[in-house]
Amino acid sequence: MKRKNNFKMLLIEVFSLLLSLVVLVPMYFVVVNSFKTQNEAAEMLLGLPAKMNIIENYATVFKEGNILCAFANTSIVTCISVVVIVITSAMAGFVLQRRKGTITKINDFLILAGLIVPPAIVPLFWILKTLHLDSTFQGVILIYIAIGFPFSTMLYKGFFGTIPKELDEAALIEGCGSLGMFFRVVMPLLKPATMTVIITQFMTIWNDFNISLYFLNSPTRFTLTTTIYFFFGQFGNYWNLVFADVVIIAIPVLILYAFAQKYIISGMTAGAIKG
Amino acid sequence: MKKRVSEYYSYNFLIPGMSVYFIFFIIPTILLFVFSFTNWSLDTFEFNGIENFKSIVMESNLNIAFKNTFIFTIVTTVVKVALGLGLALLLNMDLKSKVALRTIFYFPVVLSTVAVGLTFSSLFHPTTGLVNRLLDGIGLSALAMDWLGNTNLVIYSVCSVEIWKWTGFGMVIFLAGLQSIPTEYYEAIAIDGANKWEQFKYVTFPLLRGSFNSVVLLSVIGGLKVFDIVYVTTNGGPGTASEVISSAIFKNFSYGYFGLASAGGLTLFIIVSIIVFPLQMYLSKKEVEL
Repeated sequence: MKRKNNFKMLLIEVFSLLLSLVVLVPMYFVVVNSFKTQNEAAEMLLGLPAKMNIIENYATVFKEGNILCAFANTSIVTCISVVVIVITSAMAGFVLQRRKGTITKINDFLILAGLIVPPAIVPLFWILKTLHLDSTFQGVILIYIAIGFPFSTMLYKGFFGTIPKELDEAALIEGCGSLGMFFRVVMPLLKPATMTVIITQFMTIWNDFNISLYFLNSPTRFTLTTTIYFFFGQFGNYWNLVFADVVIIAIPVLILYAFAQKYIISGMTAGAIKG
Repeated sequence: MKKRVSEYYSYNFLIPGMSVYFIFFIIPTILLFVFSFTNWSLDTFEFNGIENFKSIVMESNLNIAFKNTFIFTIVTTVVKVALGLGLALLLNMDLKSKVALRTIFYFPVVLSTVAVGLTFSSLFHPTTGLVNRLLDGIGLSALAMDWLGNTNLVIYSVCSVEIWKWTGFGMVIFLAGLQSIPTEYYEAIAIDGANKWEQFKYVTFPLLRGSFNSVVLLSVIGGLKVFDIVYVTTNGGPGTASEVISSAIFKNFSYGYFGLASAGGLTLFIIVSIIVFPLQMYLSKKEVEL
């Protein structure tokens, strides 16, 4: 009986491992082809490169794609947006969790709606133009904040429910003001929620394509994801360079994922289930 | 006089976040109702009644966009839920490699859509793409197709890219749901003599209802709004064969037809609202009934 069971589990294990090839093969394909010469990469095969072209490819991508500049742009936009989202949505989530009443209800409704309906692109474009923020990093950062705010606020709101009110009262008795109570006492208890917000928002904004496509339409203000398109052109597609660029863009996110996996997963599930 | 504690939870805390949210999300949404009835472009701005909506209904391109958006939403939701649940059940078993496998299956979720889309456009290449080579290799050449060039097939190929990228997300939510089910329930129903299917039907699935609802809702919302994966893999082509609502809006926007693009945005807003809000109510009612 036991042996039969072991055998069945072994089959399931082998099946699962084979299934994971569906994910792994395309990834391997990208990496291995980013090591090849242009002609070899154009054949789109899985074999190892006949001639290793690693340094040349990556050096070309960095130079021609202006990766360092794009990297700096994307990092600045992402970091500022994430920091502002964390602070503003934690504050909002705190009050919305602690107070009941009409104002809370109205804000709750507006925020929930923001989780569902799509951003109104054309009027947003008009607003940016009117405020002279079109094709600027400030404009894009403000849009990222507006889009990230509802999800993060709801996530914080859920987590604040687990912090007893007595703690706030204790902080007030000790002589903290509202802000002191919040930033010195309550907020530090929410490290897991904060980590989750940081990571999910970082990944969303780092990987974003829509907003920069619409609102950063300028040759000097490009972000990482748009650099890939430099290597598609009138002289044919440089797949080796495209794949090298894909690898470069993915590395920071994969590092973050490796270190912070548990926060991503707990955050995704908490956010989704409360949805 | 001493302040009441509730006064320390000042509504001022809402101001920083809500003001940005208000200016860059809520006001644009309200303005959508104005701009949709104009022929606004960079130099002209006048009301033209329901002209924009007439064009939306008349233009066959846009009809294709509506049809494709619904196909995309339904196909990806059904497959992502089924595969995500299947993977979660599989990786909830006592496998030696389960931790590694969970990580692998979640991998695509953290990758950028642009990177994934471009990679698949090379995998789907009709002559040199890996998908067709693989089919040739295992003797199924008859199934090799022009995945992104065949007008009847293209939207389903795009669906498959979305499914590849997002199945791991559903899996993680289902896994969390599965792990919260107490094992006593299974012991109890096993004593009653239930088989595996009955266990799933009477214990697992009802208790996974919350996870199920989340995955369905998020997938429907994402499906109706889909843009980047279409833009990157096919840009709506060949011709307009894989156009979706958001990609049609983008095209009108980039041609400078801001009025028409706004009307498209308003239409999408209405479609999302009339599908998602009732769906959410229906699903949460189901959850309460249990």
